[in-house]
Amino acid sequence: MKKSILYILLLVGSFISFKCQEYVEIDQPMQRTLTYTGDYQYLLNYVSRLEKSYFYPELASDDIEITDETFANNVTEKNANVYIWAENIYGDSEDTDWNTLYQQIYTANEVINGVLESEGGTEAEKEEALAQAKVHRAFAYFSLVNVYAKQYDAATASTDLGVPLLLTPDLFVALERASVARVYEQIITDLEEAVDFLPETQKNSFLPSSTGAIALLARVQLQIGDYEKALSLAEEALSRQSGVNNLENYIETPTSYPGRYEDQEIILLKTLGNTVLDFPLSQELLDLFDEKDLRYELFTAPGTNYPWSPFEGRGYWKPRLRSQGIYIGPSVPEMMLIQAECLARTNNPDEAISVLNTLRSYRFKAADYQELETQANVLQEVLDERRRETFGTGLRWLDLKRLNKEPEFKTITRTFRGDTYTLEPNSNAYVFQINPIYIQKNPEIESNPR
Amino acid sequence: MEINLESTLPIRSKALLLLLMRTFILLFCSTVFSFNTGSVFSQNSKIQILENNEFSIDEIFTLIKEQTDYNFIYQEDIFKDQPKVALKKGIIQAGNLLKKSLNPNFSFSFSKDTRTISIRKKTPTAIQSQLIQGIVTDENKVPLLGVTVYIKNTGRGITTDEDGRYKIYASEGEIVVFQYVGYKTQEIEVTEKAEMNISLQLDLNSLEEVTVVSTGYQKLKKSSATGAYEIITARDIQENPSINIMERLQGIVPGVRFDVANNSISIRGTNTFYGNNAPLIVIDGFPAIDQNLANAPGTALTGTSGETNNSILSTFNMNDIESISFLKDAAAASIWGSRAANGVIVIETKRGRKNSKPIFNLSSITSISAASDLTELNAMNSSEYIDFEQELFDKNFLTDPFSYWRYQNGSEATNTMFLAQNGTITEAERDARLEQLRNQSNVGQINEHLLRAQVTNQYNLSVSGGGDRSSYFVSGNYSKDTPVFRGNESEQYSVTANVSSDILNDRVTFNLGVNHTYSKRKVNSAAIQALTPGQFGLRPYDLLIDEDGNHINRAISFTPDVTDDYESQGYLPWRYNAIDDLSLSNTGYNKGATRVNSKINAKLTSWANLAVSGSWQRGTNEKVDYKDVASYNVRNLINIGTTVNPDNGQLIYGVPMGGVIQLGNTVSEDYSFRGQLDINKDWNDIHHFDFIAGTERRESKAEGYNHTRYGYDKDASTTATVNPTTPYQTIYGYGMTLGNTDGALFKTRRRYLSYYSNANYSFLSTYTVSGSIRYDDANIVGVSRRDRAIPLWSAGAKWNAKNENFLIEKEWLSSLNLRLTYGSGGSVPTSGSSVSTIALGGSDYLSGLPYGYISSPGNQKLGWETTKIVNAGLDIGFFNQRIGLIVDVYKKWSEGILVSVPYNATYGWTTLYYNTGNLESKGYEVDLNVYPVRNEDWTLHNSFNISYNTNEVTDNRFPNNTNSPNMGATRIITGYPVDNLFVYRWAGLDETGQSQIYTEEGEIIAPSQSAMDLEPEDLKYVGRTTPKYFGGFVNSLRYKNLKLTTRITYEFGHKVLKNDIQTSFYPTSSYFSGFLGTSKTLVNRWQNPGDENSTNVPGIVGSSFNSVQRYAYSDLNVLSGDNIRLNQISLSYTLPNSVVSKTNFLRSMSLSISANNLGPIWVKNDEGIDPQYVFAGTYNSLAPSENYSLSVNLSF
Repeated sequence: MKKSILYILLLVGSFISFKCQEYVEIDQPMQRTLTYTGDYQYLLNYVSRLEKSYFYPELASDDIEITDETFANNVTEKNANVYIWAENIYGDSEDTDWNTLYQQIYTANEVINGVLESEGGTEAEKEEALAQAKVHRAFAYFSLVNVYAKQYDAATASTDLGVPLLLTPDLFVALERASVARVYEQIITDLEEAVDFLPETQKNSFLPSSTGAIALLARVQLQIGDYEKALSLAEEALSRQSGVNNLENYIETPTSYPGRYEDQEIILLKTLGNTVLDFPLSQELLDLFDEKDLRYELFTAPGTNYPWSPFEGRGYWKPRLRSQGIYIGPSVPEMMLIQAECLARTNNPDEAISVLNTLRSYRFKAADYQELETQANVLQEVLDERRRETFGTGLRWLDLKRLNKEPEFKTITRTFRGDTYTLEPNSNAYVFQINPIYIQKNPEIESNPR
Repeated sequence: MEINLESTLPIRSKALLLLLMRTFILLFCSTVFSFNTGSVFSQNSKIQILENNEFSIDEIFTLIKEQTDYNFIYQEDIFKDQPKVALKKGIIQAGNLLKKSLNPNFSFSFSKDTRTISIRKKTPTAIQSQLIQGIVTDENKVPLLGVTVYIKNTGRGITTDEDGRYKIYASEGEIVVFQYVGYKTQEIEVTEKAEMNISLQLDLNSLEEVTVVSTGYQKLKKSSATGAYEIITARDIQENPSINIMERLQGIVPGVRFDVANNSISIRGTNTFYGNNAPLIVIDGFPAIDQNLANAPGTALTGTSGETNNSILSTFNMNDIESISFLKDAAAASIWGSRAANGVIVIETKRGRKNSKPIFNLSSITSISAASDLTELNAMNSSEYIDFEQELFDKNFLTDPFSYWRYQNGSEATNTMFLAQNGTITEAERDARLEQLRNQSNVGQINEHLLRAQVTNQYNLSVSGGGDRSSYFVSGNYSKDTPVFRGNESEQYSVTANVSSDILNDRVTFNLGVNHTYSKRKVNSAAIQALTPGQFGLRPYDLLIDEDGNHINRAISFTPDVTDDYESQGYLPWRYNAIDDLSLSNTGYNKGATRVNSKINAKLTSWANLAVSGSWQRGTNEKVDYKDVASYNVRNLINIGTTVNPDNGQLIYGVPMGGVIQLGNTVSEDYSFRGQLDINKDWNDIHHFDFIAGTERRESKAEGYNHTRYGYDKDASTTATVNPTTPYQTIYGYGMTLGNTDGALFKTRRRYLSYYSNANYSFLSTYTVSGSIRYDDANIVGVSRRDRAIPLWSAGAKWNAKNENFLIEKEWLSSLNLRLTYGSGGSVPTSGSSVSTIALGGSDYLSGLPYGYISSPGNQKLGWETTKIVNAGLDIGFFNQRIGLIVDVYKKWSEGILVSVPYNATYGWTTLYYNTGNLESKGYEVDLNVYPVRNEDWTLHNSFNISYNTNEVTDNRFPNNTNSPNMGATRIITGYPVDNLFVYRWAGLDETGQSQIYTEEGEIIAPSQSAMDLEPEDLKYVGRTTPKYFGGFVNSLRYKNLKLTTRITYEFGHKVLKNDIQTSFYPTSSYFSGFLGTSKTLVNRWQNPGDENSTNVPGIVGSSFNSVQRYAYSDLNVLSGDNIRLNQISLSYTLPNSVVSKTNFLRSMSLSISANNLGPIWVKNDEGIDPQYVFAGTYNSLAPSENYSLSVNLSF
C-alpha cells in the first residue's frame, strides 16, 4: 500500500515535469510572433493606423484664413506655428505627421520583409499582401517627400534632399536622407510593381486595389509634371471607376451623404491627420464658389455651427456630416481634374472643359446647372475647379508647391495676432523643418535650409 | 592537573574550538559539549585564591561556599578518586573554577531559587537517552503547532508539528522545557515515563515572538531562517480593529509601506523605473489571483475600468488569516523566482487542530465615521465666487449664453449679469439677485442630501476542531459598508473551509481548502460629481432644494429659455438635479472569487515527505452599468439625437427611447500544480537539515467583454436593436453614430514552469547556512528560451551567537543573532520582444476588417532585469527579551532595467524598450521593542520601528535634458532618485499679474517667454516624493485585562506639491468657457497693478498656460511631507478567566473600542496642510474623517 502511494505520487510528479519546454512554448491569445500570412493581412487591415496622413500642410495652405481675433488667441501653439510658417513648430515634442507616416512605413516594411516566407497563405494571397504594403508605403513616402522636401524639379531632384528612405524594418540603420529623385523612384517602382498583384476592386476602398495604385500613380506623375503619363493613368483609373455623387440628392438630409465605404467617389481611402478641420476657410476660397454650388451649401457651414470654438466666417463641414474623417486619397473627381488639367496643358481645352462640365453637373441642382464655355484661360478654370473640389484635404499645399514653378503664381500673406507673415513662391518655408529632436538622435539627418 | 588562572583558556585554543565546532569533528564529542554548555552558573561570583596550592574537589567546594552563598549537593564519596587541582594565587570566576576542577565525568546543575548546585557523576547509562514523546495542547486541549521543546542546559530542542506532537531524546533527570508564544513556559523533569502530554496555560502577560515562518513552499524555524522576514500573527491583526486590512498593517511592519490613500504596498522601495513595485501576494502556498490586499470597487481584475465609491473592502477575510509573512531580502524571497523581485507577502489561513473539541468564534466590528468636513475643501464661499465670476464678466472672458441658442448655459450669477447687460432685467434686479446668491450656501443641503455618516459592519463566525485523524476550520463572514456618498454601497460575503485528514495509517495526509468570496458594490457618482468642478459640479450658491422643498432642476446644455423651448416641443426634460440621479444611474460591480487548494502529503520516512499540491482559482468580475431613461445622461443622449420632422412636427428619435445598460464581464482563472520533496532531518540534535526541491507549472488566463445596449426597458427587460454605425441626425445639424464603445473581446493566457530548491543546514542550532535556486520559464512571446529563463539564486548565513559558550551564561543577553544574505532576483522582459510580435485588435467597426498591429518591434538586444540584494541583520534581546532590537541593513543593485527610451520616430517607433537602466538603492530597518514594566498586573510595551530607503539612478544614459517640471510623471535622471521632484524657481508676479520664474543665474523669465528659453539647470531639485523615513510607534499599556493601545505612524524626508489651484479650471486666455476652480487660493489672485507685491496667485487677464503652469509647479508650492499622525487609539477588555470559567460555555470574550484616522499630530509645513491628503480640488482627496469602531470577540 505504502509503495503504491509512492508510485502514484511519483507518477503525478513526473507528469508535472513532463514535456516541460512545450508547456510554456505556446502562443498567447491575441499576441504572437508574425507567422501566418493572415497575420500580415491583419497588419494591413489596421485602418486607423494606415489611413492617416499629414495634417499640418492643410493648415499652412491658403485654404485657411484666421481673421477672428478671439479664435486666433485660442489656437494652440503648434497650430499657430504652422499657420505662420514658423521654423520651429514642435518645441521639444514629436512631429505627429512624421511619426504617423514613418510608423506606416515600418508596418509596410514588416509585411514586405516577411510575408513571402509566411505560413498558411496561397502564393496569390502573399503577393497581394506584399502589393498592398507597397501601395501604403508609396503613399507615405509621397506625403513625406512633399512635406519635408523641395518640390520635384527634374533639374535638381537627384541632388535635392528628400527624406530617409527605410525599406526594411530595421531599427538600427543610419538615416541619411535620400534624394528627392530617389524617393520618387521608389514610390513609382512600388506602385508599378503592386498593380499586377492587386484585384481591380477590393472589399472596400481602404484596401488598395489596382485601381487605387493606378490613381495614386496618376497623382504622383502630375506632381512631378509628367502630364502625358498622368493623363493616361487618370483615364485608366476612370475607365475602372467613375461614379460621382449627385449632391442634389443629399440637400434635404445632409447626414444621408454616403459614409466612407459607401462613397463611390473614393478610389483609395486615406484620411487627413485630423478627423475634422475646425478652422475658418479663406475668403479667397469661398469667393470661388457660385452661390448655387451645392459644395458650398453642403460642405461648408457658418463658424457659429462650431459652438465649442466658434469663429467668424465659414468652416469645412463635410467631415462633420458623417464624422468619419477627411478623405484625401485619390478619388474619381480628382482623376477627372487630373484628366482635365493634363488635357488643358496638352492643348485640348475643349476636352478639358467637357470633363469639368461632367463633374460640375453633379455639383448643382439640375435646375441651377449651367455648362461652362471654353474660354481663354482653361487651365485657370481647371485649377479653380480643383480648389472647389479638393479643399480641406491638404492637396492644396502640394498644388501650391508644384504651381510655384510656374511664373505667375501667387504670394500668400496672412495677419495673425497682430503680425503679418508672407510666403513667397518657392520659399524655403514651403519645406517643413524636420523636427530637431530627430536630428539630435540621428545627426546624419540633414536639416532643411531656412 | 594545573590550571592557569590568568588565562582561563588560551586564545588560540578558543579559536580552535570555534573552528572545530564548525566541522563535523565535534559530532563525536557530545559529552564535552554537553558539559560545556551545561552551566548557567552566575558569572558574577568571584572566588579569591589566596596562595598557590593544590586543592581537593571538596576543598574547592568549601572555597566557593565560603565566598558565595551557594550550597552543593552531591553524593558524599563521588570525588574520592579525583586528583587534586593546582590553583594559583588570584581571582577566578566560580563557574570557571568549577568547570576546570570537575572532569567531564561529572555534570552539575544550578538552581537559582534554592541557590544550590547539584553535582552528579555521569554514568555510561545516563548518557544514553531515552525517547520522550507526547502532544502539547492549550488549555482547551487544542494541539499547538510550533511549541519549542528543548532539554534545559543542552541546546537540544525541536518544535511540535501541526498536531502538537514532539519527539525528543532525553536522559532521566534532565529538564524538558516547553515554550510557546503567549503561553506560560513549563519545565518537567524526565522520569522513566516515555510519554509526556502537556497542556500550556495562556499567559496574558506574554511576549510577542514568532517561531515559525512560512515562505509559501515550506515552514522554517525562525531561529534557523537566514533571511529578512517579518511575521504578523492573527493576534497582531486582531489588535487593530479596522475594516481595511491595509490600515491594520500600516506602521507595524518595518520596511513595508502601506499607502492607504493609494491602496498600494511597497517593500523596500523600488527596483524599477516606471514599473510595478507591488510585491507578490501568496495565499496558502500559491500566488493569489487578485494581487491586492484590499480593493476599491471598480478595481477590475483585467480589462474593465471602474469608478470609486470611496469604500474599500479587504480581499481576504482578515479573521481567516493565521499569519502574514513578509519576505524582504533575497534569501527570503528568491524561492519565488522571477516574481519575487519586489518581495513576497505570504498569507496562511487558519486550520483546525486534531483532537480538539469544536471551538466557535464569533466576532463583529461596527465602525462609524462622520462625513468629511466640507469646510476643509478650502473652497470659495458664494460671495467670493461671485466676485471671481464678476471679474471674468467685467473683463470679457465670458460669452453671452443668450446670444446664440447653441451656447451652453452659464452659471446663475453670470446669467444674471448677462441678462442685465442685455436689458432683460434692470440693474436693480440684478443687484438684488446677486445679493441673494451671495447670501446662500449649499453646504447644508449637500450634507443633508448627498452625504451621510459612513457605517461599516462586519460579522464573522468560525468553528474549528478535529478528531484523531482529521481537523477542520470553517468560517463565514459578512461585511457591509455604506460610504459617505449617498447612493453607494458595498457588501461582501465570504466562506472558508480548511480540512485535513490522515489516511492510510497516517502515512498520507490530505488537505483541502476552499474559499469563496462574493462582493457586490454599487457606485453612483452623482454626489461626487456635485462636489467636483465640471458640468455637474455645484457652484457654492447652487442649491439642490428650494424653500418649498422641491428639487431644483438646473439646465446644463442650454440656457433655461432654450431648454424650455425644447421641453415644450416634447423633448425629454433636459435639466439636472443630483439628488434625483442618486438612484437613476448606478454601476454595480459584482465580484466573485473562488479558491480551492489541496495537498496530498506522503511520509516516505520519518524525515522525508513527498507532496503533490495544486490550486485552482477563479475570479469573475461583473459590471452592470445601468443608466435609467430618467437619468440625466440618457435624457441628454436621447435629446441630442432627437429632431423634429418639419412636415408634421413629430419627433424623430435617433437614439432608441429607454435606458442604457452596459454589461461587462471578466473571468480569470488560474491553476497551479506542484510536486515537492521535503527533507527534514536531525542528527542527534546536532545537525539539522531542511531541504526542498520541486517543480511547478501554472497557467493563468483571463477573458472578458463589454456590451452596451440601448433602449433598455427595465421592467420588460427588453432592449432595442441598434446599428452603431448608422448615423442619426442631431439637433446640432450634424450626424452622429452611437459608435462602438465596447472595445474588443480580450483574452490573455500566461504559463509558467519552474524548478526550485532550497536548503537550510544548521549546526547545533548555532550556525546556519542556506541556499536557494530557482529556474523560471514562461510563455513570453518572441523571446528565446535562453533569454526567457535564467536561474535565480540566493545564499545566506546566520550565527546564533547566544548559543556560544562565552555568551550562553550571560543572563542579561537573551538572544543574539547575526545574519548575512546575498542573492539575485529578476524579472523577465515582458515589455519588449526580440522578434516582432503581432497583437490582434478585434475588428474595425466601420470596415469590419479584423486587424492587428505590431505590439513590439523585434529588438534582439533585450534581456532580463536583475536585482542583486545584500542584507545584513542583527537580532538582539536583553533581559529575557524585555528589550528586543532587530536591525537590517541592505543594498540593492538593479541592472538592465527595461526602459522605454525615446526613440527616433523615423524608425517607426517613438519609444523602444532597452535593458538600459541601472539603479542602486539602500536602506535600513530598525525594530525596537521594549517592555519597561511587565508583571502579573501591568505591562507596558513600546514598539518602535523606522525604515529608511533611498535610491539613485546610477547609469549615465539619462542626462538631465528636460526643461519642464515633472508634473506627476516619473522622470529618470542620472544621479537622482526615481521619484525626484523638479520645480520652477518662483520669481513673483510681474506688474500684469503673471508668473515669473528665475533661471539658475537669477535672471527673470517672463511669462511670454516660451519653455525654449529655459535650460534644464533652471529647474530646481527639491527632493523626493516618497518618504525616505517611515515607520510607526505603538504603545500599549495593560492593567490586568484592560489594554490601551495607541498607534502613531510617521513619514519624513519627502516633498509634496500643494495643488491649491486646478490648472485645468483656470482661465488661460481672454476667452473662457466652462467651469471654474473653486479653490480659496483664487480669492487672493492678482486683480490690480500693485497686487503683485502682496500675492503670488496669477491674475486672470492675459493669463496663459505658461503662467498658470509655472505658478502651480514652482518651489512656492512645495511643502515638506514630514508628518506624524495618530492613527489609532484603542481600548480593549478581555473577560478574566475567573469569570469565563464560571459560565459553562464561554471560552473567552473580549471587547474593544477604537478611534481611527485621528489625523496628523505634527506637520512640518507652516500652513498646517496634511501632506498625505493634499487638496486636489475634489472631495475625494480629502483626508478621511475620524472613525470610531466597536468590536466584540466571543469564543465558546
